[in-house]
Amino acid sequence: MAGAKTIELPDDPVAARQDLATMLVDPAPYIYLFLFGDDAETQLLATKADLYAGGDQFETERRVVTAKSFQPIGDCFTALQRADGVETVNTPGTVGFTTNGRAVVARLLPKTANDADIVMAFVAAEGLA
Amino acid sequence: MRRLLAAAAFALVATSAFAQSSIVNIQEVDEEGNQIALTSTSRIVDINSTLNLTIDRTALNKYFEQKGLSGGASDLVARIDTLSAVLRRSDASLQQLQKAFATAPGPNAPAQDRKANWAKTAAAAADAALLVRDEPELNSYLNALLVQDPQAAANPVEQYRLIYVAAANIARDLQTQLDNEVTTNGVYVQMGAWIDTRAIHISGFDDYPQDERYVVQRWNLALSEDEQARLTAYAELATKVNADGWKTLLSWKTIGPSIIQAYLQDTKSGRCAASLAKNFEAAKSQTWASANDIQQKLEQGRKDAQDYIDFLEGLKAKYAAGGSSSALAPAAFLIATNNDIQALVNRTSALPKTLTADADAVVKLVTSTVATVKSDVDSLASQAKVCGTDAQSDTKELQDKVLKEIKFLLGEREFDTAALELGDQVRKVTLQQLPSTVSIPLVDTGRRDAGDQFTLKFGVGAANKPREVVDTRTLTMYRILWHTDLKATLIWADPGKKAAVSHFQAAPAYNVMLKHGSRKHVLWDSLFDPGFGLNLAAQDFNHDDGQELGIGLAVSAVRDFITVGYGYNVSQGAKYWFFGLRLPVPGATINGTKNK
Repeated sequence: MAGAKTIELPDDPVAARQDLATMLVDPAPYIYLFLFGDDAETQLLATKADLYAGGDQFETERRVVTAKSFQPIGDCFTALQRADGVETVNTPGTVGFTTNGRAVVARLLPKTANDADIVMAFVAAEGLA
Repeated sequence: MRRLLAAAAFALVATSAFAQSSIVNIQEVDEEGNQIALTSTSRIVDINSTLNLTIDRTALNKYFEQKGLSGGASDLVARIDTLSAVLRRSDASLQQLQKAFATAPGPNAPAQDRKANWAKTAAAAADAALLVRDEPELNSYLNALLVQDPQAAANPVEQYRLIYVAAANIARDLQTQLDNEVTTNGVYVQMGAWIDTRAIHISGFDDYPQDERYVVQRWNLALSEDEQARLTAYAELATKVNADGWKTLLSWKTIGPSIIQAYLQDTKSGRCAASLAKNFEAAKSQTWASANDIQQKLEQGRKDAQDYIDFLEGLKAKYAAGGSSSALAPAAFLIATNNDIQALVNRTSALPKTLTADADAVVKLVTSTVATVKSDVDSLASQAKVCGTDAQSDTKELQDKVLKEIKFLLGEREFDTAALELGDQVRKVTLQQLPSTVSIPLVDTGRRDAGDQFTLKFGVGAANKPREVVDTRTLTMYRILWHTDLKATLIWADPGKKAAVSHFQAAPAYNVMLKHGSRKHVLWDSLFDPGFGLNLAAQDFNHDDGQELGIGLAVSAVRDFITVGYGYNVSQGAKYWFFGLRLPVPGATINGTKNK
């Protein structure tokens, strides 16, 4: 079951794109952390990310967006503008990334991400003008 | 590009910070608990305050780097700089974040409002984002904090706080690494402090003994010994003025010579030299001194000692009442006084070398092994040394007094701080031993007077490089907080037509003035020094030689040199207005300078 700050994208790529079209705009409604995968590790990361987005305790402008697979909707993300020094979102070893209030990719999240990586990804997005 | 610009901006901030700031930051905490940051341009401190000294490690690191003392640790210095700069702004940043999060307009707000919100959030989070991007060790330090209690860290503001905690921990560990690196190059630091030219103890930095506790009383209502002596002198002067008229005051025969006479009263070196001259003379008649060359050396010793005595006697005669100085015009008198004092200092300071050399010359010539002969010669030599020691002590005292007089005339006392050396008792402290903060309660630094200077020096040395003093701070101590000041003065009171005499009457008096110093203006404290309060006078309006108490409200300025007020003679029931002057008198220092 998704956490309080988590949005699950539909499996249907068309429906997912429609949702993404409302998210990846300037100005964006939220700071997003996108996570891709349906394995246990990704699920665990999503749970932690939801917590660090405020969970059900805090009202925040952060949201976690999960999708089972990157591939069908990848083009929505590869076209996004990236902050200086940030690799492309389909870089091998990447499980997700954050976008800022202008829908610019702020920081990539590795598959081996720990708690600090999640927090740092949110902070990188919030601090990116 | 942005990254480069940010790095350049931080480098610029760090560089300009080094150029403008001192290595030792001083915070003053006064008796009322006020905390004042003393910048490198601050010149004044309250005489009873506590000084908290903090070493600015960022500035010190920069110095190490500039001097090549940090070895290959430039990267460490740059990282510590960045972390320190961010940490200095962390409190403000957290407050801005809290505000930005609390006022977020929500996803359905108009686009303009959301844009403004993101911009505000980005500005507040910029420093933390910089650390996220550039500090390689942030992840491990932050993760260690997060996993301790992830639930507590669910609040984004708390996450930012933990980032700053992690940054502080990294900075601390990097500093330790840098300190180790620098210490391997044999680097040490030294810090010393002085009150005027007297070295004082700084806990952890030297082996000087703790000085006596001396609190300069704020609400003192007792006249000091110096002021009592001055009051007595004013009483005599008032009698003379009332009898002979005010022109008495313009006569340098009355006042001028007394200033220099005070220096000539029975100096130790004078007494010793006189005795030594006699002993040289007596030795000439001894059997062992019959040889011509010994006679010559004894005569030389006697002459040198006697010359000094003659010089002292000459000055005494010159400045005695009716002496040659009394015929001089005031300006010529002042010049002559100054020249004579300088000559006195020079002659007295040269005395130890002259007398010791004379005695040593005799010792060398007398080769007799007879015990009594040896004893006589040794006695002469040791007496010459004693006279030398006395002369050194007299010279210092004379120089102190001369300095005080001259500096008063300049309005501020200044010292050549370059002459203050970090002595042998100042420890060489490694960076690991360097405390983050050290306190110097000025009340624990012994006897101090308003106008004394506190000097602090911070030096850095290395195994292969001589120590260099990299920061010198000088603060003049004054009584800044509200305080009372009691000063004797000579007043002229005009009783109008209500007393036996209607012209100005001179009377000894003293002011009890309420004063407040300035933290910014040295001249206010050193010269202007205004006060308001009471003037208490011993008057004799009816000329019956009986004392009459006069009480007046008064204002004073120029260190009580001038007083003006309006008073009431209690015994005669007469009102009067008055003005007062604090004139120099025998045995006391010129207005406002101090006697130790």
